[in-house]
Amino acid sequence: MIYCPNCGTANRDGSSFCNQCGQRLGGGSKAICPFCGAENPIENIFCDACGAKLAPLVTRGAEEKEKPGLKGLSLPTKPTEEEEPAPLGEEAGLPQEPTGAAGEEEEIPDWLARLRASLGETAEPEGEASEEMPEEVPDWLRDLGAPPVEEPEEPVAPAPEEFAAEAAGGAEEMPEELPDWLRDLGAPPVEEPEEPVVPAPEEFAAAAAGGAEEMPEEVPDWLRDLGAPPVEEPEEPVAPAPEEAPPEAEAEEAAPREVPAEAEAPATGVPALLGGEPPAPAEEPLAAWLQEEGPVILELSEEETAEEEAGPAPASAPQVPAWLETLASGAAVLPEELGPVLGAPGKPTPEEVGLERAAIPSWLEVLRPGRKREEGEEAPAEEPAETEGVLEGVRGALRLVPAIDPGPDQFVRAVSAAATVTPAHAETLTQVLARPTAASVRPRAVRIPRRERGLPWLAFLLLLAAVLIPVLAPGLVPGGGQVPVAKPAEDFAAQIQNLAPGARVLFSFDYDPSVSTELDWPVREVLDNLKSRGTVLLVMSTTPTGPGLAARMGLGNTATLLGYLPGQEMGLQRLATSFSGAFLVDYQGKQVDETALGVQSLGDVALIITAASSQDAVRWWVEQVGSQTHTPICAIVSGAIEPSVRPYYSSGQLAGLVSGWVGGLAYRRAASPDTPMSAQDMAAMEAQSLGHLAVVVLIVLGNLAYWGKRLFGGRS
Amino acid sequence: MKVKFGRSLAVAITIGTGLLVLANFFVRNEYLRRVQQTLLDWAMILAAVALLLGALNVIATHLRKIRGRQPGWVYSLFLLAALGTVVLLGFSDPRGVASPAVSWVFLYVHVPLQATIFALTAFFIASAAYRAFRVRSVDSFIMLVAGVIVLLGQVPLGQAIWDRIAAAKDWILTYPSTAGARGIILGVALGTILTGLRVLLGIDRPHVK
Amino acid sequence: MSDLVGIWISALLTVMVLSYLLGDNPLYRLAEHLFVGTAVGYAVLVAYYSLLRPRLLLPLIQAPLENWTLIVPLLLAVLLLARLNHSWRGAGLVPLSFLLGVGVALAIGGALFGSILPQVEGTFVSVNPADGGWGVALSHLVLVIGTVSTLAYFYFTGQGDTGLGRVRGGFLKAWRGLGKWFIMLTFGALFAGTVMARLSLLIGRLQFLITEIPKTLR
Repeated sequence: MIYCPNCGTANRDGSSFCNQCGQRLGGGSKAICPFCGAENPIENIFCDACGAKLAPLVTRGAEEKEKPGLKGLSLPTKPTEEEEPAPLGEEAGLPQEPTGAAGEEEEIPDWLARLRASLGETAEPEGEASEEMPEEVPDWLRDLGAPPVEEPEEPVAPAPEEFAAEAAGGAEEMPEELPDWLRDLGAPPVEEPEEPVVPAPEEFAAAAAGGAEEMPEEVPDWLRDLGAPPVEEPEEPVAPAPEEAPPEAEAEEAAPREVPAEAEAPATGVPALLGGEPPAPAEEPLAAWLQEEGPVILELSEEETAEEEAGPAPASAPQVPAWLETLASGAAVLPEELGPVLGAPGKPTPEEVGLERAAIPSWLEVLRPGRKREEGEEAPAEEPAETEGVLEGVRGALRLVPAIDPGPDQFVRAVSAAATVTPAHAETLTQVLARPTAASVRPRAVRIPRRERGLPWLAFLLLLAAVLIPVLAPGLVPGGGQVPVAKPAEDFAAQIQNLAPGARVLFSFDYDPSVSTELDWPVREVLDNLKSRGTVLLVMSTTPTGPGLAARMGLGNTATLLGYLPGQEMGLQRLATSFSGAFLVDYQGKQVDETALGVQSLGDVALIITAASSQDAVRWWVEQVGSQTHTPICAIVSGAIEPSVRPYYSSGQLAGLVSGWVGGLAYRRAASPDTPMSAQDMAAMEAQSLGHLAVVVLIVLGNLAYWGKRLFGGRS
Repeated sequence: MKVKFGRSLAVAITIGTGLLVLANFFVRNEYLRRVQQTLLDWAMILAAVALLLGALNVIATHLRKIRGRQPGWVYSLFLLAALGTVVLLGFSDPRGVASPAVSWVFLYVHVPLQATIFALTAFFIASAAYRAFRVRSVDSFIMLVAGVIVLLGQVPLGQAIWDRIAAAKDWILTYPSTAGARGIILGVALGTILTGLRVLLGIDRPHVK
Repeated sequence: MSDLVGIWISALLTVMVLSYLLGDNPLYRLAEHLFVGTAVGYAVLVAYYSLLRPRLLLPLIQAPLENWTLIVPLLLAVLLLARLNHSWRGAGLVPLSFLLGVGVALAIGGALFGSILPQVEGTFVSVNPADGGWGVALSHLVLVIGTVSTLAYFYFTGQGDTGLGRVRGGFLKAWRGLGKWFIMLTFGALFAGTVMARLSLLIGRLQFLITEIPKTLR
């Protein structure tokens, strides 16, 4: 098993990515740094390359343990004006936490204010700060009112949320060349927080999880999910080590390292990038994408670790974030060129006063397009800027594994597992940003309701009853003795009526035993009629079983059973080409005496009758024989194919047509109108009537049930 | 090379025999007719051999099943036993299929079995009529109306319900249904000609793929 | 006597097959396999007695010189049978090619002279009310429109980008829609015919069980 260095989950051997958090896994004996990707010995606590802590840091409250693991990203969208942003927690199916009232009247959330406080402690008020901004700071940054940045030893970007909060109030002051999202950032002046310490992202996340109810209403959904007021215990800057391998849901619930005590809510706090709407009361737990990604991981330098352990964690020196610098200048601008953003000249740097280095919250760190390059390090390949959507102009905001690379950046204080999102997550992110969030559609499981499983049986029984009742008790069905009229059957009868005694009739048994029950009766009627007229019957078949069926008809010496003609259309064309030689032996195996037959070609035959169960058989006769001879062709067909062969009757290629058993009755009525219907025939006709009615009833009932369910029973 | 020659030969045979047979539809020539007649005789013999080939295939499949004791091999035993019985009975009498023994097996075993297997479909059609015949659009509504009219118009009970239903059924079968079926026949015929021409011109070679 | 036994065996086999309604079961499977066995055996007998023996074997045996041309189908038959062996499957290409060529030619000729020309001719019907009355004229019109629109459904699409193309596309779309209705109507009639046919089969089998079996007991 390979244990994830991010969340500690046990994964199968050979896994490349953690099943829980998506963290890239190394070999069995290696631990992969989630920040820089460097391989470290499994026993390392901190990364050799960048100093990030390899062991997951997870703390969570007891109430958060029950939160289910969430799958998939649930990302903020830019809600339209008319719609109220639906809580992401709802979409993700998360339990909704009650909205707190605290801080609603404030424009920026406490957590944001506290974060900014960590910057503001060593920063001048915005007005002052702007004056003191070194000239290298771009105008747009100056306009934001950010305090001047001092050149830090380890430049750390201030928490973007602080920046966002600042930007919220100053949107109108942004220069036009900035992307919209950045323009919208215009933050109100930052008030000096009481607590200078910027909480680590995990603290922030935990605060978000635990204190979501305190978020003001204007915080967007996703931020609301994150947004929690800072958690207490600044004296314990280091989040306790995870007690167990955290599931996905616990990832973002790690206790913040340090939390500023109170902070005033920012004016509007959220850049368009992150939602663009004023903060709204947060009442949901963490955003799915955040929760999913595993615990946030602190990146601490060794000295910071020592400091933390020694006492109150020092605040880090706030600096212009690298991603912001990159955007501003359109090129990579090293923070050191800009000078310190925070901290006024003459004032001690945050590190000097023991402040902890500011940590970029996890949710924003993932958007970091660039990073500070180490000395001697190659400049990373610049990511192309986004060309559309809310991330237009942003570089490297979304990076795919292995492209998602927070970089061996020592300034990355806290990188959530979201920074190592899997390609699937990134794609989801892209899609969500590209279009409004749609309601999730759960696939409906196909399940046959219990009552519907018995329906085939009802249909069987209904049909059986419909068929059996007349057979057992004939005479009950109205109109039972009435035989329907069928002109094709009448034409058929007329063709036979026109035959002279001794005329040769070629009768082909082209059906198989499967429809023998249906066609035997009309075939027998026609054969009886032919025999009674004194015709010479030549019986053949294009199916192997045809001669056997013909032999059952009791033809005796009145007919010559020529047997099976193979090849289907080939055999029929051979027959049409020359009757002679088409049959060498008859059904009994005796040599065929063609002279006695008196047939040299099909022209010597007065009538051709085919009894067929397939439309193909009729077509072969019509195409191969009917086109070669003028001999009329009649057909006795199964009711199933009557509509298919009607065109041949309509065009005159078939001189007569008897369809099924009912058609046979119509033929008999036309050929022998004086012959009464037998009791068996009457019973069969009644059974047919009731059976048809039963099928119609079933169709109607089925449609009533279907439409009734649709119209009155909700979704079917 | 060998394979290519074989394929070329196959295509040449297809085109050659096809053109010879097709010519008879357009040209009335006694020599051509005799050539066609000979080719058709050979084709009929091969069709009978194909029938044998199918039977041998079935025997081989079920023998393999029995040898390998695959699921249902006992049924294969019965199948081969029935097959062997019929063949033995047939070969023991010079009349072959017309022998009384084979006729008896055909009449009392084969025909009832096949007829009843097909009769089962009536139940499943009834079940499908309830579960699947749903009116969801104008098309399915038209299909439903036509089906119901023809169903009831074919039987006397329908006439007891509506006296003109038989006439309606006749009209449907004679005109609109025939029109649709004719369109299908024409479409199939056109497609057959196109496909056949492609084969005869060597563009499509389904048998050498 | 043999008929009596035969009727009872028929009844037994009928019941075995009908037991499928209760679900797939060994009785049905047995009946099914018996059916296949008897069908294949019957086909073997037919193929031998009706074709191979009188057409190929006897002529070659009795008068080989007169029927020397039968060597060709004999060779083709042997090559066809060689397909049973996987290694010799390629040898069956020649007889298959022969059968394909003949079959294709017959299909083309039959389709042209047996289907297309007569069916098109059959669609040339009078729509003149003077010939048979308004009812017949309108019915014939339905026949013509239905045939053409059904063909349009199968064969024609076409939405052009130009104005004329769009008009044509719209026109064809209307035709195809109408053709689809005619096809659905035909399917409805086919469904009704199938129901009738299958019910007839069921009625026949039930009548056999109800009427024939008691007769044997008397």
